Amino acid sequence: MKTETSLDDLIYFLSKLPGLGPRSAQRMVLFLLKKKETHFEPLKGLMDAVLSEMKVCPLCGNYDVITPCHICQDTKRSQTTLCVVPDVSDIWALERSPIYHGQYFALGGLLSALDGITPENLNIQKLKNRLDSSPIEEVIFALPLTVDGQTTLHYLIESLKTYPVKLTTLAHGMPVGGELDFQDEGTIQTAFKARTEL
Amino acid sequence: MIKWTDIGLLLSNKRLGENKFISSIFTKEHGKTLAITYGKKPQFEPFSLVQTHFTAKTENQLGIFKLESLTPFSLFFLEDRKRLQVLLMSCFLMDRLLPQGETFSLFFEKTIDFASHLEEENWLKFYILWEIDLLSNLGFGLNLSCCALGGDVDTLCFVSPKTGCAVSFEKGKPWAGKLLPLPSFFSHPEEDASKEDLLAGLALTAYFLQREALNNTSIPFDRKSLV
Repeated sequence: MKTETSLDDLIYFLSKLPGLGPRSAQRMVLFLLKKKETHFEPLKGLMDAVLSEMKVCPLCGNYDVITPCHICQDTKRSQTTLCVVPDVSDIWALERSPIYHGQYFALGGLLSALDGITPENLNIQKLKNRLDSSPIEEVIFALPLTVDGQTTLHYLIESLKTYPVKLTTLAHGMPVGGELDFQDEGTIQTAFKARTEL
Repeated sequence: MIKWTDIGLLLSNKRLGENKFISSIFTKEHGKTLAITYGKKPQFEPFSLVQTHFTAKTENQLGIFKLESLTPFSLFFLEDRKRLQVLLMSCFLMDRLLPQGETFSLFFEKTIDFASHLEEENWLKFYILWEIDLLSNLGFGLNLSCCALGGDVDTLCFVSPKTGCAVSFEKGKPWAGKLLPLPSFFSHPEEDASKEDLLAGLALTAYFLQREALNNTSIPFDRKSLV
């Protein structure tokens, strides 16, 4: 890291954030400097507050400033369905859609023998503890339809088969608005396998 | 400027920064090659057959791949734990063991042939025979054609863990505890393989792969669960 002043340091650290590079980081810092009262100071305060208050939910692994997180504390949500997702970003993605109103659990990644990620690196034991301690009746696996996602799914099915819960997974196949001509062979094959009677 | 086009099997994608990957591809005419692919997520999954367009400024520079899908073998078996595991295991072995830039055209064709047998009932037998081929291509070929202690070809039952040579039942009987069992489908590939034969075959290839090629590190897959 070759920087000279705190301003350079700020640009350098911002440039390392996802979606940003040195130029966009520089533009961002210039914008903040010009809007010191309206943007820079409130942002600084918020970042300090989140940094000091941020907690990892012990139940689902979500980030929040309260513990358990606001999703786990919400009594209006179903307490009997648990949606297992790879990461916190997937919880936030599913929360954008109004379709699901149950509990979540973030695995903390996906198994990958090629990258050396083993079951010990994921929160699988925490998932078992959660199933032991809560009235879950259905576990919904919302894992990606990739080699790593499905390897993880197979492992979880094997690991959880002794639990008295219904195991389900999201449907796979044609995307909404998708045309056959633009789909790859894997998508078409999966869609055919999962076809439904009308 | 170096440019070539070839067909290849994608072996792995290792993230490089936010929207780049170093992809390892086993190509038919150019052997295993590493190069950069662009995208926020990998373009294709491991064990996908792809049309590979490679460009690099110099021989020593990491080049760039542009890929087009031909046959996404692994996507066909996403719902089958065992077959998916075998495809991943073969990717792991090829990625780890094949030297870069050395051509293995015949072995490439055999790899595609093994993948096309995956739909069959005896698919695991083809995989084990593929591992024997891999060992042979790496320079650790097993001599399973006749008994190393007398030339017998009919009653081959064991393999010497030291030399990798086959041993007949009669000659090997006194040392049976020290020798590795040789499944019958190794010498008669057209025969169906029993569960015991498959387990013995997996143990045999794992033994030599780990000792000769992987420097005594274990293969990170549960091979027994495949049978």
